[in-house]
Amino acid sequence: MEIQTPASLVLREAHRAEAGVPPDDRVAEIYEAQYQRLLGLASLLTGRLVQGEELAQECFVIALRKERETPGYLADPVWPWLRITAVRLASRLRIRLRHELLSRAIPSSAAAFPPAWSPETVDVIRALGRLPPRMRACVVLAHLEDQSTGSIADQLGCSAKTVQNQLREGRHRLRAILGESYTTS
Amino acid sequence: MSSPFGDHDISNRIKRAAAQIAETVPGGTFHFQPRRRRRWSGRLASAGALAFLLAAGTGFSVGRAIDGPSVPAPSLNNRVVQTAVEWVLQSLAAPGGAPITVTHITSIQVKEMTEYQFTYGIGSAWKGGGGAGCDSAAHAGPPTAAFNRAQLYVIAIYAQWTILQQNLGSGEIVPARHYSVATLGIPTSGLPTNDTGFGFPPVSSDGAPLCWGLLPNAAP
Repeated sequence: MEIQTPASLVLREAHRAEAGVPPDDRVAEIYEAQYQRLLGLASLLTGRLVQGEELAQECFVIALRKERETPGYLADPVWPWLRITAVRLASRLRIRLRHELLSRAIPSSAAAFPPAWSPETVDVIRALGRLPPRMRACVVLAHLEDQSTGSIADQLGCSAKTVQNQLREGRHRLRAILGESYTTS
Repeated sequence: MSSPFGDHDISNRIKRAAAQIAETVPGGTFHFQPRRRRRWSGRLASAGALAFLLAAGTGFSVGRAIDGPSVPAPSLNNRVVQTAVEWVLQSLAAPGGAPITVTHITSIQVKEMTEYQFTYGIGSAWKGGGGAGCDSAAHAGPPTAAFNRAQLYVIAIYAQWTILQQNLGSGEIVPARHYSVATLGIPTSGLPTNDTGFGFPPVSSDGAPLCWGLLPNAAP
């Protein structure tokens, strides 16, 4: 098994750049491997599939720009970069505002949940959609990405204490919204 | 009977939901369309926007309709605004973009303000759709330095838009035309980026975006 150190990653990416892998091909490769996972994360971060799709697409637009500016920028593992980009985009005021406004322009029937989704999935995404954006991000990063409180605080630009409070309140609200009785762990 | 629903169960349900979203939505392929290969509709839209802007001359108005006296503020960067409007039209016309096209522009209004003034000027009105939600600055704390540093042009584009809508009965996708106003928020310091905010806010009885009259006309 190959042990990947930061230095080996840098060298590999430098080699990749020297080898002349076009940035568009590199991003296409990442897109094929990561788009659907990113869409899952983005949909939960935004609370809506339509907005999740837009957010995921924006991440790849930024990825393409970065890779073109600096070939080899998107070093493996690329998922942490995609995740933090999605989190930051989801939390930006103007992006949130645009998503909210665009959702008004798109009829609700067009934004309906795909029929292939189970009721449980619909319940979860609806419940997350009712949380405030930062609280939603805390819950998703903690429970989907298994991120620590400190890591979430770094990504959201707030204190660890704030993340703890948001997580506690978010879990409480999710339990209430999902209508489940529960036992505290 | 109560069922356990602890932190672990929340994790499981969220992970299952994310996995199902990923599985059920087709991944597609990455495709970037170079600008020079824009379809005729994109060229037509940008040409139309340029023609409109050139015909308007100094027609960018600051806080009033374009048919009124035109007095651009000294700080207004017409080049940035022109590029922003062109960017919107190109974006809307681009294949694979939002299923919205602009068919006719009536007028354009531009206001310049800080992000703080914008955010608390529209308050909750654009989210809730009620004019009573305007101007929440009185309830907000003092503006932070970051909010005050971020200067925005907020551009209102009054136009006829064609939006693809799904017929509830047949499920058929049909184009529907709306006369509406779209707003665009861009930093005054640069060109539109992917962070550019664009959308259709709720409008008041006079056809302007809610709270529009309360937003400042010029930077402080």
